[in-house]
Amino acid sequence: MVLASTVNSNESLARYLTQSNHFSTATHSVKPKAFDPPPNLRLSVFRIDNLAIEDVWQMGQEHVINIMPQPRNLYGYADIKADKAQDLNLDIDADNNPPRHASIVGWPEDKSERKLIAQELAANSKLILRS
Amino acid sequence: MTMTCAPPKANFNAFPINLGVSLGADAIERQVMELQIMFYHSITMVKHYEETLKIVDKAIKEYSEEDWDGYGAQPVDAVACQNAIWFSRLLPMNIPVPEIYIDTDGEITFEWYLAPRKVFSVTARRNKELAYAGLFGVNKTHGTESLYDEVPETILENISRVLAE
Repeated sequence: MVLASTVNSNESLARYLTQSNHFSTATHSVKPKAFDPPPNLRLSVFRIDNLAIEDVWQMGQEHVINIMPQPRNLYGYADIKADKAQDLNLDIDADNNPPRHASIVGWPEDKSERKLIAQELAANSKLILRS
Repeated sequence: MTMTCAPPKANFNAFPINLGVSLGADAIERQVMELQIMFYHSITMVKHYEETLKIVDKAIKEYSEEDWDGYGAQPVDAVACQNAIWFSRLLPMNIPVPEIYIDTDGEITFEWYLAPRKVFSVTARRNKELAYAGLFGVNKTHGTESLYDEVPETILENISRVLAE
């Protein structure tokens, strides 16, 4: 299936969770740290609409876990709708490199504001754990 | 039985910087330092400080290389570590120990996470700023304060707010 070059506001995006402190099992929720943007302020996500769950895991394993410099686990992913990021004045750059990859961009310069946005993205996402 | 005279909104380890120049002021500072050394032997009195030291020690071992998270993270910042340790000494003893983690830019964040919309964090930055952010139901806050010799009132209020029932 060919994806549109721009991300639709109701598309689901996956932010893969590679550290145990990215989520809370006690509250079954995603923690803000999972959405802390990297220094280049391009937060990596994948477009997962119309994918079987096995394909979502395979994509995370292949394009995230397998290229990490240190061994990591794929604990799960945070499922967030694109409009939750857009509502916070962020943009989604669908670079499709690797296929289905996108980056959440447009983060503010102010660190406290970025922290608040990460908290809001986490609060608006759904935790999907790998069984 | 041990008695303490630490005020509830401060930590005894965070005795204000001594601005006095007299012999008396020097003597008081020495006595405070002796008391602080005694307090360091008490687990409950220095729990924030000890936890921060433990995390910083681990971070220096594990996160001193570029790209430690596979997303381009910067190595843990030595100055931010010192500021985080100082901040941890200022936290009042009655506050639960937060989760402490290294940000992707090498700075240190203290986070009180109770639920998705009940969260407050403070980042000890390399420039001696404290960047804070919090969600309290539908309400939210963020801002920046300077790190000096006591926890800024705004930050204390927000910690109380997130811990409130």
